[in-house]
Amino acid sequence: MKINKQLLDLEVIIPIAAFLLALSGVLTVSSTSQSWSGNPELAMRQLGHIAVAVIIIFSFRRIPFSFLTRKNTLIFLGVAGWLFLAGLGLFGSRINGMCGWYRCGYFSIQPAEVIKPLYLLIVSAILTRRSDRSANFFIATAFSAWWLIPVCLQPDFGTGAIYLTVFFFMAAAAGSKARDILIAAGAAIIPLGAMLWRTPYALRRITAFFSPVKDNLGENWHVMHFELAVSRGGWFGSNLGKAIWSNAYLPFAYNDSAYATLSETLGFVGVVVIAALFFILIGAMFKLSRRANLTPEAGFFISSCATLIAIQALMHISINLALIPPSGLTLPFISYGGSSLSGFALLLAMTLSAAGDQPENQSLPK
Amino acid sequence: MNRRWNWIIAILLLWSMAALCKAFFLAGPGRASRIEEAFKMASGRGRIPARRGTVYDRLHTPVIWDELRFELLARRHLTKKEKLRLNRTLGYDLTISENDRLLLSDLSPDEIKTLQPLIRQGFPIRINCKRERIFAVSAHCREKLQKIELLYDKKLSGSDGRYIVLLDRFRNWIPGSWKLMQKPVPGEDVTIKETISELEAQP
Repeated sequence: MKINKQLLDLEVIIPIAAFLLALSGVLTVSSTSQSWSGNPELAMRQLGHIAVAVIIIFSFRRIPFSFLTRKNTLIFLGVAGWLFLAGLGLFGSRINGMCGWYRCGYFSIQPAEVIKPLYLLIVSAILTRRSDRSANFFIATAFSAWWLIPVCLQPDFGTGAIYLTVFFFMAAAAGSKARDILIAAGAAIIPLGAMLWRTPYALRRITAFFSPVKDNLGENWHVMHFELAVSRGGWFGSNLGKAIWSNAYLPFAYNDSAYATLSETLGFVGVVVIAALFFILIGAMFKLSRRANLTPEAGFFISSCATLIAIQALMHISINLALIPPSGLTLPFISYGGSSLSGFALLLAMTLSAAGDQPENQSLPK
Repeated sequence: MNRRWNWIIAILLLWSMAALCKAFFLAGPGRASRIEEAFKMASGRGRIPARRGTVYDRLHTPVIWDELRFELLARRHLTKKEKLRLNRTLGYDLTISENDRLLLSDLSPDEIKTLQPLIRQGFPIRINCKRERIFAVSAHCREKLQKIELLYDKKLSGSDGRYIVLLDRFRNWIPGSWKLMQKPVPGEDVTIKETISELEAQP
């Protein structure tokens, strides 16, 4: 394989940026857990998750992208991924009203987080496979609808929103017709409405967010406290290592409220540094996707991965800044959680694998 | 295809800018009002009772004095699971009847320390500090001594202190946020002319 020096640089920048983000996640976790009990257990566990993520990146990047995009491989990954998700209905554990985890003693795994890269791989393969864009779009839509059924049944609104948003962005980038996208978006409202009707607390959160009258002791409680925690941080942070307000008032300060915790700990200047790391990571991925000697499929997949990271980060940050209604979403690489970190590590591994997918390397038939 | 991805990148950048502007607003112009709101919502004020002065007899033996007791109270009726968890934490079985709110009347400092993590997690219990006035005389002398207490009430009372503290969503104190606003001034001790035996001997 020809080694392009510039490519090599990007292939180093991407994991380094991700690693630095993961380290700032350890700071976030220790800011919350140490406030109360002086117990660094969560921070130590997150370091363990990072070690696992590093192993995932170094092992899975060796799998040739051409092998991953073979028809049989894609079918196998699609079915296996769906069964992994659907099995939650029978064997999953319910935590905080959501049946989204498999638990085995001390360990738990959240399938929806881990298999996001598989979804991107399959959808990007469908959207770039043939020249008929309408056919590509409708096959991808049907697949996405099938994939999202178990997610909706958990119900995991945050993850569902991520999958939907990324799908529509990918469809637009693949050149799908605007009319087709609008029809699919309109059709998605029916199951979305059914989901909300089935879970009244979620509907109340959305209506309370947009209501002109704020019920700060009721449904707007979290929204108000997100703003208060971020404000407490000011320009340079209020309590390095002790996020008092986040810990006292925010749900899952080390996870769903990670940005607010970071903001309280590091201040506006600190979170700008974190944002810069995200810009570097996502920018490097987009740049990598445009290298002339990559296959179009690989380039599209890498751009989709960058888009997923960007959308999930922006959604999490927007929730924590009270720009959109609250939902449980992790901040990529930073929030506590082995499943989330492993899922994004797998995403990076597949990105680096795709970066080596040059036309001269393709020897296996599709 | 690159052109379409450029549009998507532009949308993501616009979204980032909106988030950055909101973060800037909360850190700067919108900060003061929110900090004030946060303080009003989360601050709890309390009184630090002044130690009441001790009444001594002529031989400087304490006759009346203050004792501090810590009680464990339930905020509501505890479920079976909660009672088991409480027993496990304390290391012994509490006898709690259906309507009891008073779980333990005299907590030791070690027990208070053991219960703190449970309280911080929102367990429905609280620790109440109670001052008790102890009389080292028989019942019939107590009335006389209470009159003496009333006579010297101002001297014995002292003045209470005040503190301010931040409370979390379970209304527990946030560690590190306690601030003394006014130091308590303990009451003065009073010595009476009689001894305890002379008081007991009086009709």
